[in-house]
Formats: sequence, C-alpha cells, structure tokens
Amino acid sequence: MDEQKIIDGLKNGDMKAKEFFVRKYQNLIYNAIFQVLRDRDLSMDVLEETFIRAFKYIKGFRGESELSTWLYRIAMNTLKDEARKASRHNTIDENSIEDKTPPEYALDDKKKIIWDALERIEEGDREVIALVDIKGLSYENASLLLGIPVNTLRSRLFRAREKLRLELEREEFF
Amino acid sequence: MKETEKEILQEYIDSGKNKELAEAILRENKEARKYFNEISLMKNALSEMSLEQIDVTEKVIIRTSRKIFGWKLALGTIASLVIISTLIIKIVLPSLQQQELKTYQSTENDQRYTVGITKTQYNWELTIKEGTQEKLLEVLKQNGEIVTLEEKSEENSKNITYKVSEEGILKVEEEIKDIEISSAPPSIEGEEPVEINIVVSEE
Repeated sequence: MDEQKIIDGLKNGDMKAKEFFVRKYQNLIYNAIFQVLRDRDLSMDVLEETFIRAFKYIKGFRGESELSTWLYRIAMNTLKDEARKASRHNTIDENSIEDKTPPEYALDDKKKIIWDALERIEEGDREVIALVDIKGLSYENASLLLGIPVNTLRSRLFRAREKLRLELEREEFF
Repeated sequence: MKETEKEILQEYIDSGKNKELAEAILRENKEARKYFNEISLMKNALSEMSLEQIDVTEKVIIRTSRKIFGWKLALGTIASLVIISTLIIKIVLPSLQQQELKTYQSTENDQRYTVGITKTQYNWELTIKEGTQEKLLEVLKQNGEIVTLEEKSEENSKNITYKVSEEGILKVEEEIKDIEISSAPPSIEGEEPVEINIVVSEE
C-alpha cells in the first residue's frame, strides 16, 4: 500500500488502512517515544494515544510533510501532554523523569552503562541517537521524520554522539 | 583532532562516504584511530539497544471503534432527546397549559363570578350556582340547548354544569343584557382561545 493510499484510506476511516498504518509505524514511533520517556508502560500509552490522535486529525493532513514526520510530531506533542498530565498526578516529572526502569536488556553491565549515559544527555540528543544509531534509520529518513534538513540532522547527530562519547569515556566504557 | 575530521569519520562509519578521506585521516592520526574505534564501539552497542517489537494494532483499532461507537451513541442520545423534547413541547405542554387555564377559570368562577364557561371541542360548558341566574337558565331552557352534565354540592349551594351549543351561547348573549362575554388569554401564542369567561351581574 503506497503512502497516498494509506492517507486516503485513513481519511475515509478505512479499518484496513488504519491497521496498516499502525503496523508500519508503531515500532519506530515507540522507540522514539521510549528514548525520551524511558518508561515502557507510559511509552505504550503515549503510542496508543498518538495513533488515536492521528486518526482524529488525519482529515487536516495536507501532505506538506511526510506522513511519518506528521505522525512523529503528533507523538512528540502527545508525549509532552501525557508527561504534563502525569506530572500533575505526581507520577512523573516532565523535565526530570524519575521513574525510568531500564528494559531487561539494560541489565547487562555494558548496556546498563549506555542506558545511564543516555539518561544524562539531553532529550533532543537522545532523540537523534535513537533514530539513527538505535533504530538504524539513514540520515535522509531520520531527517524526514524529524522534519529537518539532512545537514541539520548531521550536525545534531555529531554533537549528540560527542556528548554521549564523553559520558561513556567518563564511565571507562572504552 | 579537528571537528571536521570527526564529522568525516562519523559519516564514514554511518554510510561509508568519503572513504579515501577517512582512511587518510586514520592513517596519519593516532588520535583519529582511537576516536574511530570509540565511535564504532558506541554505535555497535547502541544498535543492540533496540527495543523488543511491540504490537498495539489491536488495542488501537478497538479504541478507535469504541470511539466511533461512543459518537454514534452520543448522537443517538441527542436525537432521542430532541424527539422527546419536541413531543413534550407539542403535545404534553399544551394539554398542561389547557389544564392550568381550566383550573384558573374554575377558581375565578368560584370566587368572583356566578357563571363559568368553558368551550370544549364541540360545545360550551356552563357552571351555574343553583338558585342564581334564573333569567339565564330560563333563556337556556327556552332554547332547548342545555344538557345537565354534572352537579357539585358545596356547603349550602350547588353548582350545576350545563353543556350548551354554540347557538345557545349566541341566544344568551342576545337576551341577557347584563352578561359580558370575554375571551380568556390564548393558551399558546397564535392559537385561538379555547376558553371564554362569562360575567353576569348579580341581581
């Protein structure tokens, strides 16, 4: 199913298009959300809410950006709203998330060091690292998703990696 | 080591671009080789951090369907409310207002007048205290238009309700000079009055 067909299907409320859309983007968006929130359950909630909002607002999508970029923006806005809501209920803090249980893989010593180092760099830096180094997107795809030029992505990624590298160096990871 | 050299090495690791340039940097610079190894190691470690595959398709689709059902339910409820409200406004309220008007009429009659009159669909109903308005009764009887409907006793007097035709009422108006017929306010704006008061001067 090509992107225009998905968009048309979504605009017409077609269930098959919705299913296809969720299956296609869920892991990518989930990883991005998770790298910011660092909480599995909350990330799942945000992911679900992201798709619900996407279905709601799809009629307003005019194709000025890639569908994935549009969805990614919805995800990031949803994430902020949910974090704000959660912080009002004292379960999570929008800027300094306390409840960050690492996934099982991070129990491995080496991965635990990376997990903690990622925690110490800024959200925006984590975001580009998550897309390129963790999810393995090309510069072009990551820049499309973030809605920024490739050169901007390249410099953001370079700076983010430098910060992470220094954090890892401090922890004698190398 | 220059920042531009770091960028070249990073891009070389990511996509193999600028191979010759990167290899030249690596050949000539020991620090660059260290940097290259660290970035490669970090990138490999990060690629292993990818999360397990998740699938929320079913949950999302169920939630969407529930939302659509919710909207339909809400619309159905609103439509039902509109229909019920319309029925109340068109049918129940007018009949209640008519009832109220009749109550008003009877109260007015009991306290101030000796004759009360209500127009029903086909006839007029007159309530007269027994022993009063003999002249009126006589006119009604002469015209043969009255039928006793009910009698209601109150302490020392008795109210009798008569059913009277349209023609009978016209006769009453013609022959009883003291009688005054006035329309009651319409029950609903734009509708014809359904009740008329008749005031007869006490003799």
